[in-house]
Amino acid sequence: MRPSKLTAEPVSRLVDELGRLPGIGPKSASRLTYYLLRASREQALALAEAILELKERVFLCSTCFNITETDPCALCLDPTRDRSIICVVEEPLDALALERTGEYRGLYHVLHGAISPVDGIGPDKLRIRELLERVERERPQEVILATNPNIEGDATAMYIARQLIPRGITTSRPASGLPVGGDLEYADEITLGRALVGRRAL
Amino acid sequence: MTDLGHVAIRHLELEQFRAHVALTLDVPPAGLRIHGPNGSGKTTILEAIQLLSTTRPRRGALDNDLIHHESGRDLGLQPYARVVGVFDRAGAVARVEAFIQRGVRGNTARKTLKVGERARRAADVVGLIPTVSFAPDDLELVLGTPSIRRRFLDVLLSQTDKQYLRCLGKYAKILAQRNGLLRRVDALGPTADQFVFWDEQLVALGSYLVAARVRAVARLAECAAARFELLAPGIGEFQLAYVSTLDAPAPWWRALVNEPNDTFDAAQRVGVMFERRLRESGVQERARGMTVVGPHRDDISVALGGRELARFGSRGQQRVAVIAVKLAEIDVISSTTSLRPIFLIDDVLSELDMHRRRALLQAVAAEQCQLLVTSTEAELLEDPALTHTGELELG
Ligand SMILES: [Zn+2]
Repeated sequence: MRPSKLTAEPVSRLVDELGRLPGIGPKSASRLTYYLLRASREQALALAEAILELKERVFLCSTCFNITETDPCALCLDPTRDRSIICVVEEPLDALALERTGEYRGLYHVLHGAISPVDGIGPDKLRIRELLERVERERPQEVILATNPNIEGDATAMYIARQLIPRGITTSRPASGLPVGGDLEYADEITLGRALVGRRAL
Repeated sequence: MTDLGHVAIRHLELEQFRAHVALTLDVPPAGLRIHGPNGSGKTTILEAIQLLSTTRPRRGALDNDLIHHESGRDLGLQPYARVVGVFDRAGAVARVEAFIQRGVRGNTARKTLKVGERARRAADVVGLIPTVSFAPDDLELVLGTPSIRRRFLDVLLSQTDKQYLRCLGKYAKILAQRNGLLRRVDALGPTADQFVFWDEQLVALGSYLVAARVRAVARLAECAAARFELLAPGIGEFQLAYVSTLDAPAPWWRALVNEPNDTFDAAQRVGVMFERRLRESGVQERARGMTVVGPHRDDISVALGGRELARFGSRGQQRVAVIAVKLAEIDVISSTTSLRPIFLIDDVLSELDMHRRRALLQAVAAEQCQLLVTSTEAELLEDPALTHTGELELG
């Protein structure tokens, strides 16, 4: 959106900033901006403070790269967790969803994305190097590759497995993926029949 | 040709579908001839049936395009479109419904498919109601770009082979990602180990596509040659052949059609060839930033008596070739699904002379396929082969 002479500079600045957020197009950005323009000072301040606090008080755990207010995070410090298993997920939300099931007692490692060459995301853009260093350091018995059950998640899991297997680490991949909004369409595509048998094994 | 199940649309309902706000239609068993001026919504009726058959709008259109733009407004809903078809299918009644609703954001649309009252995934709906569609695009089958012939095969095979449909969708995604990786190749770019996953998937999925296509084209070629001979006797053998960028000798391809038990076995063999060709083309694909071998670059050759029809054939011969291929599509679908497909002719009759028009309509009628045909000129639809069809005039 070009700032026009009809628009005050602070307005076009906020439109630009909001427009950079994922899933918000120029139209939505304008709508939000004009909404905030009419909103009470208290409401606008509360939003601004929430954003600031997010950036100042929340950061990434230097071990598992989950979001945390302390470093290492509470989960990494929890003595009751099973340290012999690390579960690799794409996003903090995936770890949260898995925690909610109450079934998993091991540790996590959050990659912050999945390999997607079309979007310019290679292994170097994810926390994969940190995972490999961590695995060397902690020598877990098993690494579960619970990236999303889609093409990018598969590519990521496979790439990591190829790094871990020569290091003598057992890796596994949940067959049906996580109970985390995985896309339904894929659920059946996973059975690609005999043509893929053997290729899918990690 | 015995014991083929009959497939016919009995009843069609369109709601907010393109220009049709509400249209309800009963279709006689023999079919329907639809005439009216351009823009009166003739094509849309055929497109609706095609949507229920293939779950996709016609070539070049998106789900979103099917939605009447003002729909839902008075109800306070997001714009939507609905198509319901009631079909006779091998002695049973099948109700198929497609509902498309525009998303709140941008150009997204959500499509829900139902068979009976149960929601179904696209892969389970495709193939249920087989159709053969003959539209102006098909006239380009001989002279047009390879992409038109690839698409023709994709539509045909998606209806007859569920595995093909799955592989096709996934192959496109893998290909896009692999090309993304190739575009980033430079001194600091991706290392060989970053290609492993994409290469393996490309080969596994692509091999199935190639194997299925080679076998389908072999069947299609046989039927099309027979059809051509009936339409234009004694002017030479009509030949279709799959031309692959995998570049193996002809006997190897022939063995692929005759020997393996099924497409999976054939795909295993293709996989070996694909892997090798992928390795060989490494330098070229890195230079061009795209995958240069694979089913996305393949084609079908069309020849008459050994001479390429696009270059050496007359316009008349090229037209006959297209008709022969379309009729052969009926043959292939009938023999693989044991169902007689519904035949949809959209606006091509005016492109054919009377002789060929009659030959086409008679051949379809002889197969006892239900026939829905559109034309801007009502007189083109006055043909003995269409006597038992109903008539619909759109204003
Ligand atoms: Zn942590």
